[in-house]
Amino acid sequence: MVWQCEKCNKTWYYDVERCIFCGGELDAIPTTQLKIKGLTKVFIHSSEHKEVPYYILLLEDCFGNSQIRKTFIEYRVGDLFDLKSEVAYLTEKVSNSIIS
Amino acid sequence: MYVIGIGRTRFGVLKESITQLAYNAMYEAIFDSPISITDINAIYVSNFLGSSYEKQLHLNAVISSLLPELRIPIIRIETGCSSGASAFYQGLMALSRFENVLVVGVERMTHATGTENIEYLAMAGDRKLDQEEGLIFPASYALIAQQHMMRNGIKREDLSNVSFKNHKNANLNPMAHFYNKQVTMEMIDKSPMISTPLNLFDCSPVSDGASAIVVSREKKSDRDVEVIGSDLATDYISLAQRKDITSFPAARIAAANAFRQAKITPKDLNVVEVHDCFTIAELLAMEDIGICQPGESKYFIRDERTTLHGDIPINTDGGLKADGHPIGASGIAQIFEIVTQIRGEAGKRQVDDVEIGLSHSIGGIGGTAVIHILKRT
Repeated sequence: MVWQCEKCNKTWYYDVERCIFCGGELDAIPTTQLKIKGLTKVFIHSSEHKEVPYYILLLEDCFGNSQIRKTFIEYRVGDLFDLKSEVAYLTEKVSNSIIS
Repeated sequence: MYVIGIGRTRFGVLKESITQLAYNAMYEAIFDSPISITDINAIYVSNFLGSSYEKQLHLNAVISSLLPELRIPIIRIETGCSSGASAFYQGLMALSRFENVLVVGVERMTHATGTENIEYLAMAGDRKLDQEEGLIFPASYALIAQQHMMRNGIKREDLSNVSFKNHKNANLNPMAHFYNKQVTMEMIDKSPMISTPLNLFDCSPVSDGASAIVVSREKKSDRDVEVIGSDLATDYISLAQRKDITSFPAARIAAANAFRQAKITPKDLNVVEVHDCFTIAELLAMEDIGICQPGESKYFIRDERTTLHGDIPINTDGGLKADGHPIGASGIAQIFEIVTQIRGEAGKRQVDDVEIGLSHSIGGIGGTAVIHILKRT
C-alpha cells in the first residue's frame, strides 16, 4: 500500500493524511499484481529471522512502486508474486508445527 | 577551511574501551596539529550504535568527561554508517561560528555476537519496510548487486577484484584491520555465501576503532590541507521506496554540489576514498561520483585503473572492506587517509603527486550521502 497526493502525485510509504508540499489530500493506492524484479537468498540468521535460508524479493507493481517481501518459496526474476501460495505455505508450516 | 590535525587508532579487534579509543584518536589529532586542546571551541562526536553495543548514550558528555573542565559545546551526530562524515560536515559548518573544531568518531563492535551485529546494523534500515521483512544489509546490497549485474553486465569476478585490491592495499596500511593478513583470490571466491550473489569477502568486517580530525577557519601550517568541497544529501531510507536501485541519488547530488564548490571535475582527482561497505558499493560510488559513466565502473576495475598505480587509485588504505568499518569512525578515517596522501605521508601505499582527493560516505543504502574534496595548500 502506498499513499499518493491527488494534486502533485508525490508518493508516501507511510500512512499520512495530507501532502506537506501542496496541502493536497492523499489517496491510498492498494497493492495490485506484483512482479519479481529482483531476489536474493539469505544464508545468515538474525534474532528476528532465525530460520535460514530465506529469500528476499524486490517486487514491483504496475505503477512502478516497489515492495520488499521475505519468503521461503523459491521464485525467479520475472515471476508473479503469488499471495495464495504464500498463505498456503505458511498455513502448512503452522499446521506442521502444531502437529509436531 | 583547513584540516590542521589528524589522528586515528588501529582498526580491528581491539581491547580498549570506547573511552580509551576516542581519547587516543583525539590525542593523536591534537598533537598532530599546531594547536592545543584548550584552543578547541567545539567538538562533534560521531557514533552509530553506542546505545546497543555499549549501553551508552549521551556520548557528548562522555567526551566532555575525557576533557576535564573544558566545558565547550559537544554534540553527537548519527546518520547511520555515514555518521563520521556527517560529523565532519557539521564541524565544517560550525567554523562559521568557531575558530577551531575537533571531530571524533568511535565505535566498538567486535564484542557483540554475529547475530547481535546483524540485528543492530539493520537498524539503519526502515523498521517496517526492511527490518520486519528480513532485509538485513548484506541482502540490500545483494539486491543492488543483482540489479547491477542484470542491467550493466557486472560479473562476479569484478566484485572479487574489488575485494582483492582493497585487501592488497590494507596490507600496506599498518593501521588496517586486515594488515598482515594475506587474502588470495581463491579465498575470496571460496568464502561462504552470505546473500546471493555476495559472499563473506564482499562484506566489510565488524571492527573497533576511533578517528579524529581538527579543522580550523584559518591555515596554520604548511601541513594543513584545504577543504574545497563539502556537501551532504539525503534520500529515502528503504530500497522499497526507490524506482532504481543501481544508483544513489543522494550521492550524485552531494558529489555534484561538492565539485561545483571546488570548481573542479572528477578528472582532477588524484586519490579517492569510497564507502565500500560491500564490494558492489565501490562500483556504485565510482558511477555516482562521476569518475565514470553509469555501467562503466566494471571496466575501471578490469583495467586496474583504481589500483595504487592506476590513474585513479581508490581506497588506498584498504577501504571499509579491509581497513575496517568501525562505523562511527569510518567516515573520518577516510578523510584521515586523503589528508595523509595529500601530505605525502602514506608510506608504502603513497600515491605519487597527490594534490586533490575526495571522500565519499554512505548511510544505509543511500539514505545519507556525504562528499568531501580536499586539496594541498
